[in-house]
Amino acid sequence: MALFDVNKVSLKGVAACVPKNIAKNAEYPYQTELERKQFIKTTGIEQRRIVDSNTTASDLCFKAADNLLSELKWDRSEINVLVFVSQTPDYKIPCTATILQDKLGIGKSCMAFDVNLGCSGYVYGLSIVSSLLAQIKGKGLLLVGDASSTCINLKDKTTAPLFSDAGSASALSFDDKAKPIQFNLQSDGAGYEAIISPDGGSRNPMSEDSLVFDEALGRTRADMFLDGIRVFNFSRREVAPNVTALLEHFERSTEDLSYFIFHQANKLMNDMIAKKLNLDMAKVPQSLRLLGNTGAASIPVTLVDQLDTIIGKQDKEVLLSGFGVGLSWGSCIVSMEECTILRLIEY
Amino acid sequence: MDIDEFIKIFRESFDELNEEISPSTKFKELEYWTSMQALLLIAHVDDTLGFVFSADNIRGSESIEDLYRIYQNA
Repeated sequence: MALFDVNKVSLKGVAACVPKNIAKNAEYPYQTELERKQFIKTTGIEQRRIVDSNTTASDLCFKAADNLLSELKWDRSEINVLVFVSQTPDYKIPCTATILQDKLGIGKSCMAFDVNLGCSGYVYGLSIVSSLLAQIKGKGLLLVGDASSTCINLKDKTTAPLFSDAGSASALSFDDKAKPIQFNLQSDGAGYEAIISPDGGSRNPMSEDSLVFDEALGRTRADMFLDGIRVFNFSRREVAPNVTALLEHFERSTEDLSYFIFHQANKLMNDMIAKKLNLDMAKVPQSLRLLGNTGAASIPVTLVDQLDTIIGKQDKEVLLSGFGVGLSWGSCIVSMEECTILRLIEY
Repeated sequence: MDIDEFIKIFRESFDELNEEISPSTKFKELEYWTSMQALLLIAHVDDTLGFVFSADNIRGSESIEDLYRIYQNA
């Protein structure tokens, strides 16, 4: 397992931004009344946020980052690292991170690049940015967001009512006094087809057939497909052991930690993982009900939505755990002692 | 475990199930069978029997007896 810690880097701030437009699952038109009722009860998702046709994931991340940098009063010329984690970049070429570097007024001495990961992306992103900052001894931005609604067919009744759009920004900085950030990261490409947009990449370039709508499935081959049972079984099998291995390796206990923030997949899955780990549900905040599954951004969205008034400037450590497309999963323990959390921003 | 016990566990996974069910019941035709119910069934069977049905197991089965045989032969 990729078990490691990063020293002398602390999380200084987190912000998240969601579109104003709300979609209500009780009004989702492609399920029967019974399906809607059971879907909402099982997933816990009542509402989702959906971008308009002029807004991208990077716009949501920009808004979160711009507000966060102003709040922290950081000199933007001092930022050395910018990583954008998303599966809905602005373009296939070039990467979106460089565009954000310029748009945010960050200097040319900043390295900027994209990472193509989904629901595990926040934890992976923290590991990348913190590892770089430990070497550079500087400041960095982790921008994590997805506009999943743009790659899912609205008629796909098993997938569309799950996903919601959001962007986030997290600020990290070299800090001699920081507690170590402890990671356990894993992957299993044997499950790559469990969540996939089959056409549109180099393996299966876009063709006329890519856009043929399959009535039975409610999607085209260019749309994202999610095999609910495979993802459910993967999460049920892998997430709790990953967390347990992290705790054991670093000789930590669930009692040491203030909160456990899991990727917001759906209520059934998250309750099941918490139960396997014997966690007190009061320590497992969820943002699913009104904000849905916000993909890669779901961990920072939950921090912002649920803990903005609780955590700020307190000596608390939290465990974060993301899992999904890839298949890819990982957990980390991070101190929130130096972290400012902004209120949820609407775009 | 005999099939009657398995049917009891199958029934327990539903919040609501008004129909009579038997080994030959085509479970995907039940009124309350949905994609979410498939997840609830998998979770309940795992919790009670320690066995996990795969996506292919569920897709490839028509009757409750088909599911029972997969469990028995595992």
